[in-house]
Amino acid sequence: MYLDTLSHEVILHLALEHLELVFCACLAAFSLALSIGIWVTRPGMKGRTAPRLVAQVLFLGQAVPSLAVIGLVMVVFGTGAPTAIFALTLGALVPMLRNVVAGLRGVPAPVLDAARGNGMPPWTVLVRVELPLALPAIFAGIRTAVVIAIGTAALSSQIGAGGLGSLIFTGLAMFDMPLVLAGAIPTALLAIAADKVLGLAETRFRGKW
Amino acid sequence: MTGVFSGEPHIVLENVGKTFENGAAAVRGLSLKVYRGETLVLIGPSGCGKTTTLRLVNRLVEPTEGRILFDGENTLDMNPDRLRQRMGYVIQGIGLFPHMSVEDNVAVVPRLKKMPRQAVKETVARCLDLVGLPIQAWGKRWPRELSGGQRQRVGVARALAGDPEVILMDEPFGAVDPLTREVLQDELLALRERLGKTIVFVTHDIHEAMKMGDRVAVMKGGELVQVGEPLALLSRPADNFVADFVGADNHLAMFSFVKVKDVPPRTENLPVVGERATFGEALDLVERTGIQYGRRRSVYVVDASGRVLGYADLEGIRGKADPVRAALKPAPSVAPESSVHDALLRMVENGVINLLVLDENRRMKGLLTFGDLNRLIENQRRGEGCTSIP
Repeated sequence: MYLDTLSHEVILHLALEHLELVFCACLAAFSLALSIGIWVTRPGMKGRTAPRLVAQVLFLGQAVPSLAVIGLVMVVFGTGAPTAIFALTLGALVPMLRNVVAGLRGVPAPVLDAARGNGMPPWTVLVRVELPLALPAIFAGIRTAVVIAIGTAALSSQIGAGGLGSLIFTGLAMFDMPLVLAGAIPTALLAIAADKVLGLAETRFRGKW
Repeated sequence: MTGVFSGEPHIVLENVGKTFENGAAAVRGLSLKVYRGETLVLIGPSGCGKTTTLRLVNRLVEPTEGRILFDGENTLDMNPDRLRQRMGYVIQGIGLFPHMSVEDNVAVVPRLKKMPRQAVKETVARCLDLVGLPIQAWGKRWPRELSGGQRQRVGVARALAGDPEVILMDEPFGAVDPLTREVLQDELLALRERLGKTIVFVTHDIHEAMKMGDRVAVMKGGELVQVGEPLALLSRPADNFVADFVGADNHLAMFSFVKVKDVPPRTENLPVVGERATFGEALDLVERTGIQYGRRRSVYVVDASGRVLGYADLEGIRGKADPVRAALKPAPSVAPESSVHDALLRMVENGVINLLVLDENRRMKGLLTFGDLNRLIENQRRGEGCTSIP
């Protein structure tokens, strides 16, 4: 069987490849989500078209299955890791942006009032008041997005981006269950570990309030 | 009352109007002057525009008409953040930053003003001290660990920390229980006396307005109806709305804002003895003072430096040569700055008809008797008002 020849190094190599895809995608998605989230929640944006548009895109984003996204992106960009990262970014963007917006909108109005009323410039209000208070929601978004991305990244081997998905799909094609498990179990473990690590990071960041 | 304020006004609203984008006019044609060092209270039913007026002053709301001068300068020509740093801002309830410790909350404005680190620390300690929350015990606490009253005190400390020229307060005591509110009001009055800041204070509680305000501005439907000293509103209301609102027909209304020192308490011929006096001497004195007592006659005992130690009940069975010290009990008292309302409450609580007036060093400022209060009501009924206000 193929698995007999499968060394630990191969699994490890694929797992790292997998994580690399997820990391690049989530980093890109987070920067985007944070920028867009901050932009649409500025006081001046109230009642403007941009926030409504963003809400609609979010809704659509949730509705489209990730495999379909990967397929659509491949049509435009062809195969390979960049395409996979692009598709994963789109997938991760949805939960992240949703939570950034919810977190920033959830800052109590009196607190914002006090911040502005005591003479904090808009940038200071954002950095010292809004973002710290939105942190729990933002972190929850990151956790959801990362876990989803780790799962979705398994599909990206289908467009030649590598990762643990290649074990799973090769195994499926060859009816080799151990091979499928050699890909599936590390993928599941990665997802669980990422969730835990991010949870710890959140407690650390959040402070004791 | 501190009397009539005059001179250069600190804040001037000239024909100010605010119409929101949805077409609703929150404030119309408002002209108002706030003098240096006075407390001006804005009051009216909800939706009358009092909060909007306050927020117009620090530009949290921008006027659509008229102009607002602060220290003679049009606020629209000033940097809004710089302007707000010169005006402390206290809002109702939960305006503290929940993710910052008490001391970091208070340090916000000093840090914005780029004060050096050591100066920030000293300022924070001083301001927390002023509101009775010493930094050693309270500085590291989180807002969620504080009671409503304590949070409100931190809010006041935060507003004071930037050493502002003006303090704007939007229903600052609206969310705390009535007992705490009384305490916080008294503390603010005492602070005001010490710091002499100009205060603009929004409330919907007429008793609070009468108690806190040097002048009270009554608003209705976005317009100013009448502005004047509390007693003037009571005795000469501009229209039925003001009369109803301030309760001009209620003779007890003035109890909330007439201060004990303005009654005034009697200062001569008081039943006061030194701590070495005997019961015999005390009884003689009581006969001569002509002050009425409830069921039990008593004297107040002071030590050599004039500090009041308490009172001695003379109805106990004792020898005439026994020292009064033996019967010493803590005496109920009020501060000269307290309202007559509070004094009356203290009398009822303690079952006494004479109440000591003490300053913060427990030195005797006089004695407030029930007879004096009775006379005050009589005068008010005859329209003569209180003695110290013309």
